Amino acid sequence: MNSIPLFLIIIPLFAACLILLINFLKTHLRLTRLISLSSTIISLIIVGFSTIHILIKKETLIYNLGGWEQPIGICLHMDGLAWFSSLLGAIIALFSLIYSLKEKNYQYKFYFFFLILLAGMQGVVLTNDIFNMFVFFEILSIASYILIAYSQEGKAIKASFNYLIISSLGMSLFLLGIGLIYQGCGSLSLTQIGKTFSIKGGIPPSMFQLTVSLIVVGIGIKAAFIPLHLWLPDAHTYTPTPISALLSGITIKISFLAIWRIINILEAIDFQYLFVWIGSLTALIPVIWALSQTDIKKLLAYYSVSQMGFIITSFGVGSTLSLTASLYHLLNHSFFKSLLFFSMGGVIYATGKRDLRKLSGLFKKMPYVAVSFLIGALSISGIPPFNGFVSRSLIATSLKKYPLPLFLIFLASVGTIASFIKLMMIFLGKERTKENNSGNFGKEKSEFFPDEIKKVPKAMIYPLITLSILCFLSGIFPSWITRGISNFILLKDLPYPIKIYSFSNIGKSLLIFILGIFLYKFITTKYGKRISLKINQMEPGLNNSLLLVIVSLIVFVIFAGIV
Amino acid sequence: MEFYLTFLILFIGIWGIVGKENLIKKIIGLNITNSAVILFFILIGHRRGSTAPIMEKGVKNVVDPLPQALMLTTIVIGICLTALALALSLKMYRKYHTLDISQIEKLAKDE
Repeated sequence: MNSIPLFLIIIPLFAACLILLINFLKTHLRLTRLISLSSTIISLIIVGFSTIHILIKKETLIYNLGGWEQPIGICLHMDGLAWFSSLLGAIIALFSLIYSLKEKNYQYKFYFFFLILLAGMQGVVLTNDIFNMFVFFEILSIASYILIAYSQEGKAIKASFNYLIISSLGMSLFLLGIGLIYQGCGSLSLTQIGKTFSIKGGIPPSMFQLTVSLIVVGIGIKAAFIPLHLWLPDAHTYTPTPISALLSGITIKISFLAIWRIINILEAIDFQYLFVWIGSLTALIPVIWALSQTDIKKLLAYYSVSQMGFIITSFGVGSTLSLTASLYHLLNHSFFKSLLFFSMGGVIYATGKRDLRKLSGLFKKMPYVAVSFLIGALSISGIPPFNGFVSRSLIATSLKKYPLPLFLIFLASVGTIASFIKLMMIFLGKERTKENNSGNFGKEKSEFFPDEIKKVPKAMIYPLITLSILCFLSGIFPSWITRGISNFILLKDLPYPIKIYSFSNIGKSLLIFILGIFLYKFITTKYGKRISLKINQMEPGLNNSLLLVIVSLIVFVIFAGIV
Repeated sequence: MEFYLTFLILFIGIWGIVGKENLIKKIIGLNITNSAVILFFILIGHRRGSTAPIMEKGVKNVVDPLPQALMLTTIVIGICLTALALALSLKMYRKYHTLDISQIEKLAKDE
């Protein structure tokens, strides 16, 4: 019995309550910041401390709540996967918090819900009880609904409401799945479910498929699979920037890891193969929408979905190599996506504008932001020696048996290059031009005046620099990280040594780069602009996205029956 | 029989969420779905002719207490969600002066 997992959940919760208690003081805002910062740092230190147990002694930390042992009581488990996601969550949360200190004058409520969100995330990954997981999911979601609506603008409130309705429907489905599991095996502990809830153990196959479909679709809404992702672009766009980085960087991944765990425990192998197809479509389709966006944050939000597709695809293959690649890409994506959101937040902070067409030539005004954005963009588009290149090559290697998904992922990478060239133009485009050189759409003239630019404070620059270094470091030591992930987290050895920086991999990434430039040239032509304007207007509303949830549930059940 | 009725209620709730244009009706649909799931859980633990799980002298044959305990949590979460959703729809009503989701979407696009 070890109380580390308990502390990881309790500390943010306790700090959040403390923040509410002290808000009558005059200096409460300063104290609030101090409390939230120190509690995040303490949880990071605790995760760091648990590294000794997980990586060196290779043991699972178990804490039985209230002294009741499994399968009767609720139990917190910290294995390699939970350690990994918990560490990642703590790191990204710390960066977001440091970033938020100077960005805007956030009230104590912001920090309160921020810490609740953190506690919910840690709870989802650490718990070993499926109903408890549901409760932590709801804690996480309620905090994120409120944070999405924090700015109180019309679009933000609408995005929050959409997310609330879609995700609550999903959570009801998830709860129904839990009910079916409880009916089938009479237990809620994940370990016990793995032992008894299986087709071999006497559960009818149709019931098993229905249960897994309900759970996967229910959580899949938060993890943003392809027909279920429609809430995400709006929600991640209109939140405050630190929260967009946190939600995109880690929250959707935690939902995905919850699915990972449940599928692993239920040994639902048929579903795993379904994920190859879902994942590759998830990688490609949002790119089409992203190419047509003009809002800089919305473009990034679409890429959160697309990159999740990469992770899901390689999870679906199911070999040791592909699972390693999936986790590696998950790690990399949290680094570079939060980096990209932070740098775009810096641009919005400095200029007050978020329209791609109105921004250009900012490189000289904010070199730090521009360079770190460049590193993030190179990482996400998979240019060596940054981390995106490494994990994408690993994913491509592991997908050898699936030519069509591989091709879809290839197309998605080409689109990624094109849209990040487009985004890069806000830094590299011409300065103070009268004609509109920067944008790709419309005929408006550039309304950009250099004197309007505010200076970006240092507290916002530090996270950028650190994340850029992390992106670089995780790119140049691929063999250590792959071996680390496969040995310590998946507890399996890689079948053969992988060479990442080989001639063919670099050649492929060069080919993708060149094709991406051509695609960029195409979307800046008149014809391309007209197409993207049309795509931009085709955003399904709330009712359609809810309908898609139901349809995808039905499709899931049917396909799982066939496979 | 009870299970079929529960699923009927569930489908009514889902129809309310998916099919209705009015925000308040959507929230009502959400509540109905939630209640259907709660009923489903209670039915899992139920046995005909058994009593409430309060252990006193002479009480034998009780229902499974675990689903009932779980559902207390779910009811609390459902209340929180309903309150939050109502607050958000109030904010939207003040902004757009309508509760119709398709009209709100149109207005938000032009904003």
